[in-house]
Amino acid sequence: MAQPMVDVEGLRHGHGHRNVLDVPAWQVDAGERCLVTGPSGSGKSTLLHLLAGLATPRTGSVRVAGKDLADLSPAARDRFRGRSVGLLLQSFHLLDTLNVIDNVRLARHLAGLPEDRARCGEVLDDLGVGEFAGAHPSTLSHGQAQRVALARALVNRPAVLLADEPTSSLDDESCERVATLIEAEADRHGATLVVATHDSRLLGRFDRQLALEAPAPAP
Amino acid sequence: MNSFLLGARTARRRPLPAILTVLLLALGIATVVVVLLFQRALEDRLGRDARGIDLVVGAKGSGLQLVLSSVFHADVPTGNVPLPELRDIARHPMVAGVIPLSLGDSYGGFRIVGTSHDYVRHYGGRLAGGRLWERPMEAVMGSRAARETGLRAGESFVGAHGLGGVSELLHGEHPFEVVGILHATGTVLDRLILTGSESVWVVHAVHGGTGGAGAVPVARGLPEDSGDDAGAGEGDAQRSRVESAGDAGAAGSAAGTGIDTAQSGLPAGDGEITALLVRFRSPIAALTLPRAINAGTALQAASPAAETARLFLLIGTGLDVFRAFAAILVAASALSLFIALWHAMHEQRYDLAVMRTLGATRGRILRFVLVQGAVLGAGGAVLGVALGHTAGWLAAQWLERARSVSVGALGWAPQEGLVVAGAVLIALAAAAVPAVRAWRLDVVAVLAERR
Repeated sequence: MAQPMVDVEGLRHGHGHRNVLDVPAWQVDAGERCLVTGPSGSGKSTLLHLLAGLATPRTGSVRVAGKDLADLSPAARDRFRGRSVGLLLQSFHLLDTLNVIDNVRLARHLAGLPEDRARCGEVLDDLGVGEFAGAHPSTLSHGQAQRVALARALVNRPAVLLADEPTSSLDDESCERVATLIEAEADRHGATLVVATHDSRLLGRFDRQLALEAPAPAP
Repeated sequence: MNSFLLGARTARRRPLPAILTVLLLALGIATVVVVLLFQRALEDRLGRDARGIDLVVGAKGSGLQLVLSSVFHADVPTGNVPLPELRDIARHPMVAGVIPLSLGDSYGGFRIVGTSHDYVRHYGGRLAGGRLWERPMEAVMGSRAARETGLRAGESFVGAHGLGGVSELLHGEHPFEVVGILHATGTVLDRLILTGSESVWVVHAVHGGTGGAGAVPVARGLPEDSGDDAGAGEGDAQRSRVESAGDAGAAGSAAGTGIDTAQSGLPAGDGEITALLVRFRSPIAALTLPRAINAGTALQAASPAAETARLFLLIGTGLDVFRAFAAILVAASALSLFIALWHAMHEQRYDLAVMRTLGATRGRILRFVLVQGAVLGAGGAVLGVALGHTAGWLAAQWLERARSVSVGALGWAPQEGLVVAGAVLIALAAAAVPAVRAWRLDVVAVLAERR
């Protein structure tokens, strides 16, 4: 039986004395598309951070692409993230000191992968923003910037693509287009997709869903 | 894509603090470099000019003044002394050789020095053209003196009373004839016009003086050395190798050790000269002879080595002030660098957090900030070295033109590499705290700020 791409067990995490995330058991198989839903403060983004190894859980284990993140040293976890996890964050976080293609190249550089300008250009072309390769991120529209951020997340052919609120603040038409794009690109690159959102328009589009609950109010 | 490129592009976001930091550091480094260059050039220059001269004997006064005027030709003489008294010193068993110097006049700002051919040999002077002087009123030009006055062999000039300043008193009745030009030696010889001691006497006999402070009283007598060097005077006559005036080749094979005549090194007659350059036969002479001359005669003996050391003590105070100023500038630039990187780090925290999400380890982030500091430090150091050399060159030109002080070729100081390395280390130290702050960055918290 194939190992799940994401395997979470007994996961609890919080800030201070407050527990904001409680996931007893959750698995996502390779190639699956999973939606993580829940109201604000339910820990959707925190779960993505834990999956990416940007934070370590208070208790429980997180395995991604067969690796138990707790077994990795901080540096190894960072390198693993660079090569195996693509992150599409809500604010895109493109570096405005670099042009579009250098933002994409940066992902390969920081992951310790060899320089491959052709691959970077190809991913940008696939996402329809190849013509903006030399442009400055500040000159891009919201949609173009999101495509560049997606290209950066996918350029290293990650095993898992994590997207945080990719459709929030978009109108229905844009929401449909972005959701379709992300799904298609995850499929094209063979990445398992986990999308955290509170956008109800995305319900029903995904194979699996993990519904998180709002944390109990502090005593 | 590499960390340097990334650092450079990031630094471009806030160019003004980066430029100001680099400029401040460059000014500090430039000051250090100028001090190093001048100190080295001066030591080198003074060392070359004083090499092989163990003692200077002249009229009583300041020892430093005697050495400055007679060895480096940078001050007025202490006076003149009668030749008979100096003959005792020249014949002393501890003395290996002497060179007479007669000062008092100049032409075009260059000193006219009455001396013997040994003086040319001592500094390794070689004729570029013509011959050495043979008769009174014949002169040989040092290379720079010839170049700047434009005088060539066969031409005449009239000396002016005084050493380099503007003088109304010209010795028009006694023009000199240039008979030879010397190659450059990189020593004081290049800045002099040389002639026989007799020429100076001829010129000054006309207006009744020798241009200095007048003759000192006759000496009470110099005690003979009774020890190891007895009989050392043997063969002095044989060592007399005053160059024949017609020899237009190398002025002597004993270049650099040219004080090799004792008795014949002095001109005949009972006239006066300004100073006597002395080379000892043995280092023991340094212990006894100066004291004997100073105590037992009306003359003054000064050691170029000791006086040069004293001079460096005096100059050293000034250099210390410059060094302290440079240290303050470098410290200020380190502080400026720290502040610039601290603010840059604060502004870059989103970028650094994004880099962490893309796989950058904490170590890489630390290096990234340190590299920015090192690049700014190296930039400031390289610019500072360039500025220092430019300022040094300009200052040397000005000193030569306005003050007639030659500091020689500035070249490169060996410590400059250390200065650059030191600047980079200081920059790294200034970048350390911002780098550690970047290392400790809470990625999740920073990304949450931008939601």
